[in-house]
Amino acid sequence: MLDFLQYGFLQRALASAVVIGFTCSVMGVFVVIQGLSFVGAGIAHGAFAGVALGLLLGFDPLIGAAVAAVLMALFIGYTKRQGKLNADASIGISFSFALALAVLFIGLMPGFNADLMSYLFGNLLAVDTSELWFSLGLGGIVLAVIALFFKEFQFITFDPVLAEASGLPVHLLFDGLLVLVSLAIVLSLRAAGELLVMAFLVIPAAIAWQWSTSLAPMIILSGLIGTVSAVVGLVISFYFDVPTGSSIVLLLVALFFVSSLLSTRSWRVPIRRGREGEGKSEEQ
Amino acid sequence: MIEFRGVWAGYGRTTVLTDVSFAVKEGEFTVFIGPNGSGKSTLLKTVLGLVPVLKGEVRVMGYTGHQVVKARELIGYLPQNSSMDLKYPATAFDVVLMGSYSRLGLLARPGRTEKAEALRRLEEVGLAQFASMPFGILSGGQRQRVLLARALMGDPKLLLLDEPTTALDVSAQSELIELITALNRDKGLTVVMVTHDVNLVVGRADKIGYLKKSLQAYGPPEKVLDSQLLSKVYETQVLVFEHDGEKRVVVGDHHA
Repeated sequence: MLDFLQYGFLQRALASAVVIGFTCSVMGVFVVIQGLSFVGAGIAHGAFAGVALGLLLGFDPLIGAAVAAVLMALFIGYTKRQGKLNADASIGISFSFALALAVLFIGLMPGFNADLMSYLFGNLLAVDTSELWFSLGLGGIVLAVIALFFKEFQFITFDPVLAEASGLPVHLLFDGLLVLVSLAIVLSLRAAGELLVMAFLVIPAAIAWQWSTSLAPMIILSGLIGTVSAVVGLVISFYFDVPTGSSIVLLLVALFFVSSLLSTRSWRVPIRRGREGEGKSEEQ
Repeated sequence: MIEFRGVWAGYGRTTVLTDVSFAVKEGEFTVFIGPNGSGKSTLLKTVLGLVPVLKGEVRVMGYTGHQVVKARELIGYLPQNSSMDLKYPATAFDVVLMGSYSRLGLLARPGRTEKAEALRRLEEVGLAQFASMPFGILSGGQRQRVLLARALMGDPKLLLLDEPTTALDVSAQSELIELITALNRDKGLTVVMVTHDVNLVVGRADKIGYLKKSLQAYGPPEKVLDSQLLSKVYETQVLVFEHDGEKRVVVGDHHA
């Protein structure tokens, strides 16, 4: 491990993996409990379109990514709220729209752009100091907002009807939550890439759900799973000379399967019961 | 406690309640019945100030107009629970504690006082031993009692219950109604409940209202429990008869 840490680029990669693994896995809890696992893909594709536009027009791709991701999050929140479409369909539409825009912008670029591809697949080992500080700063803001508004986010995600009756601005908070998810994606895009971000947004939270009966412990556990997997995956990729993103995702998937085998959660809350009222047969 | 005077209420261009007038006095147990889509839930939401009043006046604990929302702190509300995900990571204690959130205000966290009260409320509904159990694995009746405990947080003066017995088995329905009746009779809590099953509250309710967009009848059960009136409200044959000194209601073909 010591020889691993003697390289500056690996120190930065490790710090970046910790920030990204923790922040995305914490936000992933809200994504998973809201049944919006696909939202990460929708917003990440939006961010990717923003990156492509930034590279095409010559402004900072991360600014393009941030603006596009936030717009995408607000669009998903708006369509979900309208109730004309279910969230799945609205995410699917925004996903396709963003991807089409990204492909269009790429098509308008002269020649092959290697920088663009790095946002799709990421490269933890290529993170520079300014990118690390960017991730740390934005990650700190996202986590601070979650900590400050924990009780409000818990209330609106568990019982939006009573939360609204209690005077909480439910729609504003829900949009805020989606914006935080989009910021977590943006801070991770350069280092982790779109594909790894999606894994961080779903798998650690899905594992943590199997072992948690309360939201706060689930958030902490998910964050820890994401962090440890990111660090261990990075070390594995260094010693076995395999791609970092793949080793982290494969490790997470392996952990998920082991957890599913050991957890009794799925027996305790039958999936078919779903939402209250649908499970009349479950009455005891 | 509550007064509606010629109230029209609804969402956007859709009027749900038309010309509704009634008054609920402190300590009364009032029940509104009516078919699906008759405006029962909207009526409760109007009391909470969640549905705009298009015409008329709503007075809740002395507050009127936009001020009605100020009465929320004194109201315990048990909404229809279709919005809750049973797979959500929350214990019974977590759910009850959420009842303190609106009074705490933004950013403040529940402290010892709120946590102690949450445990006391769980005891009150007979579920103290289930405090650390996941909400989703409790039986339907237990879940409703947990939600009732949540509605009792902060010592409300008025309890609004939106079909609390829906999807419960007969014994769970009866237990829950006993609990609500005890809160009304022993603690003097004013209760306004909407339900489909009038038989559950006969002998307990002080007043019954039939809602079908407008209020078809409102008054003491002995005066308004009437076969002809109920048949008109539900647009099907309804028979009201006496059994063991209490009125009972049967819907449908009772000659079969």
